[in-house]
Amino acid sequence: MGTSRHSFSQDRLTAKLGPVLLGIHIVALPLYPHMPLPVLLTVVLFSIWTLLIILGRVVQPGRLTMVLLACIVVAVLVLSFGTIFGQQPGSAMLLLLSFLKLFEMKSTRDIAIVIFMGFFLIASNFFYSQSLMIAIYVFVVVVYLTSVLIVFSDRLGTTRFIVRVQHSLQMILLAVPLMLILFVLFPRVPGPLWGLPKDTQTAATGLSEAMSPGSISRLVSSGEVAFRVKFVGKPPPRSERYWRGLVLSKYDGKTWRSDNAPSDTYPRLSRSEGADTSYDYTVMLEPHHRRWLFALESIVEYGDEQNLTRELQLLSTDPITDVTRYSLRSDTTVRNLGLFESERGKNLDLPAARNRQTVEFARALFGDSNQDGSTYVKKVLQHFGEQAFFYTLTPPLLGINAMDDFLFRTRRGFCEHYASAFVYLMRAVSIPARVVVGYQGGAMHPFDDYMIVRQSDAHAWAEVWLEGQGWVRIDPTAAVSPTRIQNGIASAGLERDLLPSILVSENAWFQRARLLWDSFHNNWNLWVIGFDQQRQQRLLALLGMKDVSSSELVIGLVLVMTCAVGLLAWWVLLSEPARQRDVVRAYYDKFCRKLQKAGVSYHPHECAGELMARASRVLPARERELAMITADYQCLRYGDDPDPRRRERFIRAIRRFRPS
Amino acid sequence: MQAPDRTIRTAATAILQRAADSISSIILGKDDHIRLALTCLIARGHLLLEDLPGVGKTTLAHAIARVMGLDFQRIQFTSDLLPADVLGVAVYDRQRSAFEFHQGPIFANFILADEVNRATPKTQSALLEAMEENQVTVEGETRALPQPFFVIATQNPLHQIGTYPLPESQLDRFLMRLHLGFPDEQAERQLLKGEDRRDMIEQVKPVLDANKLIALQKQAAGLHVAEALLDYVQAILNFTRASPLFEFGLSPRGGLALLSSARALALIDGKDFVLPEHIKQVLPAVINHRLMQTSDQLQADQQSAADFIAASVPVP
Repeated sequence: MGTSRHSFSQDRLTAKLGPVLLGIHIVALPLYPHMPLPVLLTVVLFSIWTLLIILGRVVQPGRLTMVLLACIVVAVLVLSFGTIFGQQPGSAMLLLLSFLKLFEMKSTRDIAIVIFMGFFLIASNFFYSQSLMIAIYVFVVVVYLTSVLIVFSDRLGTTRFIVRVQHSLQMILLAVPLMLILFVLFPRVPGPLWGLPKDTQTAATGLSEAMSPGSISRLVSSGEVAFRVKFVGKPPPRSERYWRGLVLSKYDGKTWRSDNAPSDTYPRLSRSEGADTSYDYTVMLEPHHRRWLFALESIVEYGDEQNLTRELQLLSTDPITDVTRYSLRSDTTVRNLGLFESERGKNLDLPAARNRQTVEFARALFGDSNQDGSTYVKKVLQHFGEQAFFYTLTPPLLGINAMDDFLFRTRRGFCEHYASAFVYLMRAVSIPARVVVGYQGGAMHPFDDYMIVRQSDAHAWAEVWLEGQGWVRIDPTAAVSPTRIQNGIASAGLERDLLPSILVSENAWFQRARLLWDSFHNNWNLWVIGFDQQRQQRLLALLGMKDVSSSELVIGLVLVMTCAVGLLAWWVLLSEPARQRDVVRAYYDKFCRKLQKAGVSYHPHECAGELMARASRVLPARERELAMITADYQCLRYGDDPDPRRRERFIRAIRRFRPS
Repeated sequence: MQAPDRTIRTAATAILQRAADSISSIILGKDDHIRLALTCLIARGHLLLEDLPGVGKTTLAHAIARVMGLDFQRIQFTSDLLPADVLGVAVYDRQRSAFEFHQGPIFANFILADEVNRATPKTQSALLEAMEENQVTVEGETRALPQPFFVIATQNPLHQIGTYPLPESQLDRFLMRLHLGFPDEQAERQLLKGEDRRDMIEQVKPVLDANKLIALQKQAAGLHVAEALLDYVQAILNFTRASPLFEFGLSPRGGLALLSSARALALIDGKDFVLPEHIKQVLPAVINHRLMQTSDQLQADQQSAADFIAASVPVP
């Protein structure tokens, strides 16, 4: 440690442990949900231990205990992850070592080290999430950490908290140009950050591969955003906004499952007649940890990174773990014409010996329709519309003969009930049919130019194969509750208390605030998270630099940064007060350094006279010389008679001064 | 310490030294306090003495007045003292059919305002206004006070029933605040052995008079202050303003008070320019009564605000 005012007594240090402990917890808070149980338990253990030290119940552990604890940390990491390398074990190690460091606080410098570790720890939050919320949290914590660091660099150590925060903000503001340069020029790697696979076990809200009664109505209560869409030009009308996700064709009497055909066969599409039914748009999909993508029906153009199955289902090559952008073109009038023989069987398959009443009803109705598919479809929809069927989020439970129960007894259901009953009725008379799940609707942002599709827009509908027409989309829900399709879920007459508050809240201020936040979020995704290699290259090309390689970027970056830091340093040096470059002061500093070597420590708060008095006690033989130098210094620095001879004498005297 | 060769030991310094020595012969063992009291006088400020009764506040005031050759008035403040009793009153003269102003005791060069905290705030502020303005307004007529004008006010620090301690905002009308405290053992023995202090004061010869004192005050105000020293004063001001230990920092008036006191002390010290040492020496007397502390942290460390500041602010 330097001067005596910097060192603290051990008591004072332990008193400071409390805030530091709290600080680490604040820094690590967003990490906790991603940490395995053994790591969390160790964190709790270390925290309790530190509290006991603060309370004076336990002394700080000795060197041997520390080595042992370090071994335990490694053991916990290996137990939890099987390795100590990688992104998760790495951040867990940093977390545990920060706590361990609390046990060996010997000086204020140790606190500074913990704070520096905090900067790394807070940055590791971005491994797990890059959302705007986390970015804001990280920013606030960085401002706080910097303000704490200022305490240690501030020799007086008594600056007000608010002044420290101001300084900290100033420092961060000064770093903004560098941050922007780094952000724009730092080479981007295609694919996930650091090339490491993302944790795929995270539970995500959204559609799953299977649909059974209740699986969609459960989703409807979530106001979470599924994806956002930006259209080039006008979006299609609400009743045409069918966002196709998954095609489900396997039914076991209760659950519908997907049965994807190999994706190397291409669907046959009908030609589009009118040009005004095609839409170009970009989807910003929230991570759902699955491979499927959502597209407006029916898709006609897609990118190289996506595959289209013969069911017109769009798939990405990797699970979606980050906000993903993709641009598509769809045409709402285009139909899928392809039905392969293997598919026909799959789309007619029904569980045997079940729902007899339904099958009989279907055959009778098909007979009434003169065995004509289109007429039969109309009659079934008519049946749904005319009979007392209800659209509800709380349907009664169904028994083993689910279709019989639903069609003839309960008659209350949500879209999955209607879609599944409809497909069943079709298959019962050998018309190929399947269930499609996805989203229906979506609302334009009131003051930004994009559409938000929420989990509450989740929907299920049906597709039937009609000879000569190809696959035709039929939405039986529209027959039961036409307002659901035309005006959206909020006005479908459903139980309002089960719908997300964002849709049904009457509080206009709350709604506006939510949507404003969403707008920020979207722009964050678009401009910060979405700034990938492609965009970087495009931006560089705009600046006149085409096809820049990563190594060239790095070299350019180093050059730009060096220049920037150099300019900054130059500016700081220029604005340094003139007194620092004062010759008299410079020589006096030299004098102080010589005294320091002779064992007379230098305190910045001491006057020249005080220093001389102390020095004379240590070096009594030099008293005369010391007095001369001090008197000359006082005259030159504080007097008003700039005598050049005195100045020369003063400089000479200091050069000659050899105290030791 | 070797006398620096360029230091001008002027006649002024010699006279002041003599004055200080004569006062020291009466008030024993309080050389530093006497020096600061003289500094306050030379800096044209007013002095507040806060102490218990009987430690020699009145004697000190008396001795200074005598040595400086100033006419001395003592006003004993009591709860029934009225502003007119201090300032004076206009009386109707029947023969001349006109009001005639009878000067109050404040019309003197040197006022000892004893136990100011016993008077009502109204009377206190009459005194404080006179101190601030160097003039008195009675019955709409403004009258200048004799120059030099110097007030030593004493205040008993103990909480007593029926007193009105000066509010913090009025404390900074005083350039300095001093605590005399008990004399040390040696000085006390000498005091007990020696003759009556009152008689001693009578015997002391004045070394100065009002005009010479004014000249000294002007000389002090003209002493050189270097940029580096102004940096130091500003660093102190900024430190008190940024520190969480103080309610508010020092006011600009506090900064001016520091400078004028340091100039006066430099004159007494025989320097023709002000040193950071001078600032440090006047620091406790000048700023401790101007700073309100937010916590008792410094008191717990047995430190005054001035000690803490002097040990924290680097000397430029």
